[in-house]
Amino acid sequence: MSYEINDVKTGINHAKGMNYHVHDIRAEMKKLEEEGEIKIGRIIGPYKEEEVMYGIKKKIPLDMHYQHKSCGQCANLPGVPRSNFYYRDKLGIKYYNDMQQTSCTAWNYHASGLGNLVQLASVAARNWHRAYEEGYNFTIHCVTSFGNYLEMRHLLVSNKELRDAVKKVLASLGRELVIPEEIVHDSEIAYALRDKIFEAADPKRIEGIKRLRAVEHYGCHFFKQVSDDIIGGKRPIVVGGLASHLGVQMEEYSKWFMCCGFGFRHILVNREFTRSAQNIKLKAIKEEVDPDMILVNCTGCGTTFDKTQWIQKAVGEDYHYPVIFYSQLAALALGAHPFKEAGLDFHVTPVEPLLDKMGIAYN
Amino acid sequence: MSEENKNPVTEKIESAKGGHFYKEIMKDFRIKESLHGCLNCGTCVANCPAAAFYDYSPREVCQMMIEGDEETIEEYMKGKIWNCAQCYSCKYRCPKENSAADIVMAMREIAVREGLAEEALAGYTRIAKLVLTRGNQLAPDMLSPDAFPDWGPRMIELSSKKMEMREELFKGFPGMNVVDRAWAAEDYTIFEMQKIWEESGALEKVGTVFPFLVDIVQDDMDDKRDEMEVKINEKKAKLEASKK
Amino acid sequence: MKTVLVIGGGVTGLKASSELAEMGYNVTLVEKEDYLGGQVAKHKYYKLAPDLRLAGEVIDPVIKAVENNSNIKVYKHSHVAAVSGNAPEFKAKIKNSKGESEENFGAIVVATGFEHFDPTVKQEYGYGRFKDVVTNAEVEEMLNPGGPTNGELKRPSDGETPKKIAIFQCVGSRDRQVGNPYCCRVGCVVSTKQAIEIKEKYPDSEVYVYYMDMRMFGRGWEELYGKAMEEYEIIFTRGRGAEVTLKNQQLSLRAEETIMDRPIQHSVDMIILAAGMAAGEGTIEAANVLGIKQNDYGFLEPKDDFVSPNESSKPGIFIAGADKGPMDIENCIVEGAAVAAKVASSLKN
Repeated sequence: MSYEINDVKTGINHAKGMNYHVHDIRAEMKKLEEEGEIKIGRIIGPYKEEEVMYGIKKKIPLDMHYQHKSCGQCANLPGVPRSNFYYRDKLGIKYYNDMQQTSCTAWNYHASGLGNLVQLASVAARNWHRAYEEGYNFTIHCVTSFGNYLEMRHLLVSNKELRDAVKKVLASLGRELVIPEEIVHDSEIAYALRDKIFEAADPKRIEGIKRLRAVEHYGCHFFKQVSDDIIGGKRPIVVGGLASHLGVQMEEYSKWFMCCGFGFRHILVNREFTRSAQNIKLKAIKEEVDPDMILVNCTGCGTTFDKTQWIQKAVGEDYHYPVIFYSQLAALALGAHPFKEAGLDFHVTPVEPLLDKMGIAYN
Repeated sequence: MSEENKNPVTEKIESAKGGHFYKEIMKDFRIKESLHGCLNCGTCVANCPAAAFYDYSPREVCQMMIEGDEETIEEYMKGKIWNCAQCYSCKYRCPKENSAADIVMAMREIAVREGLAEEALAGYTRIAKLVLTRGNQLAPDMLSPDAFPDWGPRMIELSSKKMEMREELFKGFPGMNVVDRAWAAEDYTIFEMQKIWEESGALEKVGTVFPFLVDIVQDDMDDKRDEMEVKINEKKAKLEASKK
Repeated sequence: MKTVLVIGGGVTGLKASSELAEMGYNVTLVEKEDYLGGQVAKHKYYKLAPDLRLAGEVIDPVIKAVENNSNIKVYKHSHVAAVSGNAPEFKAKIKNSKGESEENFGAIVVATGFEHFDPTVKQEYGYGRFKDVVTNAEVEEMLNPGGPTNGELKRPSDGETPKKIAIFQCVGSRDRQVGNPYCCRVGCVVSTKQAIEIKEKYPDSEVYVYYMDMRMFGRGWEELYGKAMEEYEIIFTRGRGAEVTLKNQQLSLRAEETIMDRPIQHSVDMIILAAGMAAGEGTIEAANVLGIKQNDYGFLEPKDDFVSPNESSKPGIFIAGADKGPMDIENCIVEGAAVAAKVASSLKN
């Protein structure tokens, strides 16, 4: 069923005088900074405030983006980082593609239990420090990294023992603990920039986009792992919000909440689980909506949805829903070549019918 | 929650109950935040994708930790914990804000440390190696068609021409067009990553499952070690100077 | 004789007003809606638990007692915009569409009540998106012969009578995720009552109640629960309704059957959400205007729950009923009388 993004805003309204359970990590960070326990990497340049849970405002930096890349995307869906760079180039946003960045190692951690919290938090803090020493705002392409960094921020703020251990590791690298003022996912930035993207868009492309109906799926680590620091409240709105702003008719299917089946380890060693979960998701999508595409913001979900449709033939189902990242949609709107600049030819589920419907040439 | 805030439920549990695994798990400070008593309402199980397909129950995970039921804990420790998809649906919807996913994560760490994860980690050598020697978890190379036959014919087609495709896509983006890692992380960066794993004790833990990886890591930077140490010392000096 | 200002024309405010008037005090009753009776009137509550007697039998006499008493001045569609002064000399500005007036009062009673929890926040239940997911308040309206469906239980989507009906307990109650860890205190008995009403009217229907605990502590409640199982064959499943999705275009719920330890899916025609109680707009507004303390959930906080349950944090301002927290009608009426006594004794001193 079609729905308006504004209808699903689920920030709990604490203006009513409720104080119960308001968790304000920003205040806790400030307190730690005053005590000299941590440094805060403040937002550089212009920002836009967007509301998260409890009515707290999250500052979304609009320029000077340190690009914390996703290893899954770069390896597997390279059109996504390319699109992330593309829309920034088009909008004149300065960004930094760092070759001194490492993976966050959270995929490995959640899948295998190899590593430990000190290691995970130190890797996070080292990457944070890279953005800080280069003078950029820390922004994240990957949902696994995003969830992990929200979690690491929370654990580092709430636990002195971990903080001290991480500081020790960082000191051995000649680095210090600088927690970014905001942990921001790239899809939140694209959402905050929706007006600018729309203004700069190619009108012909927008015409094509207006013909599309889509469902959205968010990574579990985007909104479930730490659920009080994403734009919109408990239920995320950024991907659908951006898409509907560009003219896509957003549709809801009843299984929107369910995990895609990626499972961190299941996608590698237990794909029957992945395929079964996908079967449930895709069936609901087909029966209830039958959209032109599935919009995603998560590396793992994008991979799972894209790669697991073909095999559903084994259970007599024929699915062919192109899986498009929010930034690939933005890049297409801004006039990107679908293959050479948005990298859609790296997707396994064919995107050609979608491009035909949008009236975009690809050969 | 600050560390001063004690959780009466877990406090009590800690003092009263026994069992080796139970005690090990309780040492993880995340457990305090993950258990606030359990209403046994089943919301977690109803929302859990793993519970839909496997003999796995997030409610049981919370209950066994509340009760200190070593027998059930052992059952989970030796296998069931690997069914969890780490999707945090339980945490997101639990009316008591418990997090079975976090408890399972703490348990997975211990399972690795205690040598119970050999079977679960078969197939993870490549990823662990990549993390430790390239600073990345994934590389285009890893997606060989024979490893993923169920991803369809287009995947095979893709892997045969990915080099040219990537070159086209990343024209003007140095460091992005590589196939043995996700991006061309610098040697110094990889060295830093290795140092983090070493200093945090994580490398030692890797050694309990993949002992040869520790040797690989130690050999990896051997010829460059001196050069890297010089760099690190420069960085340390710079940081010291900035503090003054 | 001093005049008492009563804010809120629900059962509590009505009872307080009539009791004070009976004692000879002048009362000014301010109600924001254009009718008296509060939530009972707003949602056309039909029958009351546990006796299944008509709500009108209870609420009508309480309203009449106010309307027929010349000591009580009723301002409907009005609100208290500002209050100044201290006990026992308050000045209050009362505003409505006709204008504004300022009056002097010796004491103020806040009886602004509750509002039903808005289940939209619980996105997993699809309230507002699936038409056949309704609240218990909406079911009250439906079951009332004077309501929108003339007393028939009908599916909003197609107007058909549902055959399989599931009731979800604890919607917006006992739930830290929505900031309401407290029990709504009425959901269990209201759901049981509605289940019986449905079965009585439609004996062929199947009614399933998904619960965590049945908290049947009130007068006659446990007996009603027994009756629901024994005489009406209502099925109580121990597991909280977790999610509502669609299966073959039919509503499908997910829960865990916690006694059997297994996740279940259940296709039904209609789902009733036993939405709990939240502090209402009127309560929040009154707290702001009067500067009295709220608790963490937005309800009003008594000076001392045991010793002075009807006194607010400010002298001369009294609180009663469901603006203090979840409360059933029976107890709201007791509270109305209790606060009247407390006001009277305070004005005498």
